[in-house]
Amino acid sequence: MSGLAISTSGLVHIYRSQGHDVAALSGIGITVQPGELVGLLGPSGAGKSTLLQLCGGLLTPSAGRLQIGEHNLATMTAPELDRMRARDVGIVLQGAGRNLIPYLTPVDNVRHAQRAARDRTLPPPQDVLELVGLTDHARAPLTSLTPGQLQLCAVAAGIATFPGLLLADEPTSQLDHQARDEVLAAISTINASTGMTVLLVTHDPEVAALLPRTVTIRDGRIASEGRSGEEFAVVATDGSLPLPPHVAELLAPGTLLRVTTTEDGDVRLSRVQQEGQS
Amino acid sequence: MFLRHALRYRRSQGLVLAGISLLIGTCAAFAPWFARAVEQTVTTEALTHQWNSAAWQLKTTPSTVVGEPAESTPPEDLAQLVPADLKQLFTPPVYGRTAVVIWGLGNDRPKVEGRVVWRDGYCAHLELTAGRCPRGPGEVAASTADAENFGLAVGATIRAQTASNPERSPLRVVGIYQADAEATYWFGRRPTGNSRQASDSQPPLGDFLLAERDTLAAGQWDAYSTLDTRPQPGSARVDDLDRIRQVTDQLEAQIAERGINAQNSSGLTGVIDGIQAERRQATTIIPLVMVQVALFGVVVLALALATVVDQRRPELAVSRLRGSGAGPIGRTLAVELSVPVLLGTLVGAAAGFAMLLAVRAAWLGGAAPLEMPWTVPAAVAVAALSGLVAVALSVRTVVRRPISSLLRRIAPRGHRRTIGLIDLTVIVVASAGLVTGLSSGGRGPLPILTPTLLALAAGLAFAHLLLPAAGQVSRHALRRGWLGLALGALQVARRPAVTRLVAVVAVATGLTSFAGQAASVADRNRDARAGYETGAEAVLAIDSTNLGAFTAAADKVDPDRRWLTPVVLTSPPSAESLRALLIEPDSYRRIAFRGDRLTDAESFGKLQAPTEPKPIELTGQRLTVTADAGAMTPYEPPAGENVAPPPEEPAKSVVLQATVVNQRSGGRYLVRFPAIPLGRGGPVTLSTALGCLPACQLLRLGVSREVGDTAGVKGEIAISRLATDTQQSIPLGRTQDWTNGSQAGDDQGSIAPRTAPNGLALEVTSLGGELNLQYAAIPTPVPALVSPDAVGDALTVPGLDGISIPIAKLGNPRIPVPRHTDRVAVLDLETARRVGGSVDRASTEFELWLNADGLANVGTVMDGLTAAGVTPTLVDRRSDRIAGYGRSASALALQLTPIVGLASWALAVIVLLLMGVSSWRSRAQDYASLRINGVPATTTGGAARWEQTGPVALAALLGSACGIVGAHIALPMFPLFAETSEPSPIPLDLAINWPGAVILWLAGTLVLTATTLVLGTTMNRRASYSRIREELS
Repeated sequence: MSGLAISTSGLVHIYRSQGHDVAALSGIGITVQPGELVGLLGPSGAGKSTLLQLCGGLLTPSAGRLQIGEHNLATMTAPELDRMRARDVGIVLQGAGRNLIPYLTPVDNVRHAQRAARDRTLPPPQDVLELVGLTDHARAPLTSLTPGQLQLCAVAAGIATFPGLLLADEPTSQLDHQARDEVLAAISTINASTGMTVLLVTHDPEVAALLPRTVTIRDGRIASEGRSGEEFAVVATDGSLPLPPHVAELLAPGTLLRVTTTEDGDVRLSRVQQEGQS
Repeated sequence: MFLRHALRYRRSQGLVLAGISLLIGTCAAFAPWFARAVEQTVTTEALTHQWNSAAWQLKTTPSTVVGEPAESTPPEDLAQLVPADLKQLFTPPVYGRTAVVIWGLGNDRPKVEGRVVWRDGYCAHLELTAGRCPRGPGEVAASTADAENFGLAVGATIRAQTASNPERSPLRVVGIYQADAEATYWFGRRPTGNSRQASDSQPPLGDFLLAERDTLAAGQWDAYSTLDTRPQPGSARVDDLDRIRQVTDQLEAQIAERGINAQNSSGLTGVIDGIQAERRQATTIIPLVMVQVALFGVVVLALALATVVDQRRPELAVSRLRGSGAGPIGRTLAVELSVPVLLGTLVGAAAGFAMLLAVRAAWLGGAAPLEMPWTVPAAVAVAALSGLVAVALSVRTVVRRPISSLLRRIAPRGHRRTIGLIDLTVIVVASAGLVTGLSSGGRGPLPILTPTLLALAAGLAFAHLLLPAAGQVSRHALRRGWLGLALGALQVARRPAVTRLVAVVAVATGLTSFAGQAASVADRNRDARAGYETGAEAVLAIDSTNLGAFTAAADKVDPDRRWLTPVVLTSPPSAESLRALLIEPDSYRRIAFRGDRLTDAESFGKLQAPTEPKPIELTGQRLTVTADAGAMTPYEPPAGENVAPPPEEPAKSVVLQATVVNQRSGGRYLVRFPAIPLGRGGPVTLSTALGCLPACQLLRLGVSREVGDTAGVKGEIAISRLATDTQQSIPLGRTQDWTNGSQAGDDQGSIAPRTAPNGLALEVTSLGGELNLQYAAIPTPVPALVSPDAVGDALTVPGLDGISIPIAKLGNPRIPVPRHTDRVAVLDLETARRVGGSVDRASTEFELWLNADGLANVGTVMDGLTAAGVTPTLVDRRSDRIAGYGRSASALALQLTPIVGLASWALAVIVLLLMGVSSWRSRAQDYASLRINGVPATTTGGAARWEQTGPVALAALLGSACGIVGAHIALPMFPLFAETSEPSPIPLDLAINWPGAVILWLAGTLVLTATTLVLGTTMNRRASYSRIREELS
């Protein structure tokens, strides 16, 4: 199956807890092309995992549009979401153990993950494990696996049905460098060999540096986007422009910026020197 | 697909679920099985112990129709009255022919009343001491008692005749036999034990003269036929009772329909009624006792399932992540959990059967047949269904939650702590059941469920109060710097599972407490009732015709009354009148069951015969009196409406008389002196026959008149000397020692004692009747304790000779009079002896009541009594009655209560373990986090140990209190004894057994808190730093 596109517009999610409303996402607009490998970056509480869970249908959007391939998640029912997760969206949650059935071997975990999509022709579990390099441990008990192998197993379970979209939440956290590289390599291989779209949440700058595209979320909004090592500010759907933190630090509140447009269509921002300012 | 893996992975959880289901299945299967076995047992017991009442005893009656043959129906014809389908349920019929005869030895005039009897196969039931069994017509076997009483011997010829046919027929004695008259073969038609020689009042009586059938077929004997049969214990079962009853009820109609002149004397219908009453108890109490455990088991199973399913949340979340819907996931999990539940229930059914076998052997004597009543599979099916429903509800509740909720380690809950709908429903239903049970007047099943309902409602309510209270305690403790307490209380406050824990512990300890109370109260009441009914530890019936011989025998065996107390019961002809129970107060207080509680010491003192004055002893063959009646003058009573006109003849004389009681025979008789003519002054000496050897006691002195001399006379008769041929002078005591006990009015005359210079003077107003003064050594009326059911104020009881004695009521006994409870007055035996009278055998029973030491030495006692010339028979033992009550349906059902208590504890421990196992990891992580932040291990250890121990200890206290309150409420409605047509006069003692209650409370608290302490300590040990990083469960 080829990769699925992700398209959001004005996506809002509000958590209601103990009488308080907390906006986790405040109008996210993002587009991911089919087959892309995109990293979601941002500080804790920025809304990365919320966005990921919204994409997996684990949470329902409070407002806005969220489209995964042909699926409009804002209007889907629970059974439709189940079917979507069974066929089109694979999810790897943070912490390998949360993605696996503890009493099953890796091969059985993959088989278990394929159960809901039995109406489709699926590759044998062994082939899925081969894709992540776990063939040798296919029948080993989970308790005998290293943390890196467990994470690979979790990834294998996530892609067991070869979905069009893989959502991975911090798949490399709490891993040593070697294991981290193995996991990242496995995800990259999957992305490259199957054309599966991958949306990956990470805190790790080293991991982010290896990704072709990153989206940084801050305070529930898209703060910036990086492509091939270069970082860009992103204009939001309401026209606002969150600045990168290192730029914002240079600009005191109330600073005036002059916006000019060049002949070739570029937009320039320049600070206006006011009296009393050095 | 992964069922086997899942079951293997959480093997201990599966075992817990299977274990709880096993308990439920055991209860479900055992209750109906045991109830059925008890029904069968009470049926067999009743038919065994009441075999004679249950028997059909058919007897032909002479035809009243003129022209019909005199020969009565052959016994074989009576067998047609037993329907074919019941023949295998009844014992083989014993046919018989009986003729009532009067016989005499040789050519003596026939005077011995007896029976010539043939019974089918009688020879096999005799022990021949001489000769042989009869083989032909005219041959009889006589009993050893008849041989002794009437001089019969083998070879002797007796001649017998019937009342209607004076022709004497010869019968030759060919054997002398002994027989066990109580054996079932005789069906109460006692062949021996009847023989007695003639006495003054009674004709001689003979035992059975057993003969061949031919002897009675001769035609001149007016013999009647008999057929005896009875339901065979072990063959006649519960399901046969209705049919047997129907046939018994219709027997008279059958007899009439078949044209047989016969009648049936049988108490079988009453026996069956008794069995049915016990059956109702068995089928009500046993299931209800067991259903409490089963219901508790279902609640615990539901709690366990909730915990187990909650632990599956991460796996459910994984399945949902992979696209499985809630339905398929729920079905998969339900199948996984149903396997141990169903297996446990089925194994429980087998365990129930094993338990039945054990109980059947231990309690029921192995008498109940092994059956499979429909109620067993039905109950097991209901148990299995309950388990499956619990599984379905537990799974459904969790799998329907959103994935985001399933992904969280601890299930989210509302910010406000509210009572859950299920808890609220349980509290309301339990309270409603409690109110209904209390207002139903003891009818229906709810009273028995009172303790459970009470503990459940109170436990849940307490649990919901505990959580906010723990929060308050935590905050208070934190402010004061008591970190351990603050942490422990905080853990309680933030874990709603404590609610379940507290409720379960409260119900478990409540059930145990109630079970302990029910068992001990029932045991105490069975002991008490058996004691009241027996009267003492054991009772010997004494065959005696003489009070003196009876008391002498008792004195010889136990002069100090260490072992026994003599008791005599005299009964009036009318069942409505008072009986007299004659006792020795001193020994009765020590020996009789609760004898010291019969009344207070003062009343016991008043009951006793007076020690002063001493009775006046007379010894000799003649009694002589010197008296002066010169002061007597004619007297004309004032005219009145009811006064007869005075006779024309003047008064001629007065007659002095004395009433004496013979000390050997007990006989009371009147001694009259020759008449003292009136009008002649000066003392006269008169003498009359006395017959007092070895001695008599003077009961009364009085005045009567000669026949026809009824004219009034008034004045003093001075008695200056009373003597016998062996006593020169007999002091007559003080004037005040003589009283007129007569209740006659003044119109019948009067008599009063007066002081005389040398003796006693009688101031007499005589109108022709008899006037007496009674000596104060014999109080009149006799003081007595009278049972509350006595009617009227003018009370009398029959004396030893059956003649009424007036009694003065001292009051009511404080407790029911043991053994002879109804319509009875308790009198002093010595007083009754002084009153005297020849014993009327028909209305007088002699008994010796034994205490425990006496019973232990009963052989010695009986040998001593036999040697003393009386025949004792051990007729009653308290232990036998206790054992009998122990076999009642109520007792058998209550024997289950200790099992209920232990099962409740076991379930509570299982819940504690389950809660500990399911929550230890997150709690250990909490404590590990605290340790990282510098809280000492001792503080976290204290908090870990006491966070559950405190609530559990409080819940145990609450549950025990609920059990006690439940017992106080429910036990009066609990059928401790089989229903009887009239309520027993022996009151139930339903007081709480406080020592037992405290012991059970302490034991329950110890068991349950020890469990929580061990769990807390174990958890604290595991609260290591590495625990914080742990993820894979």
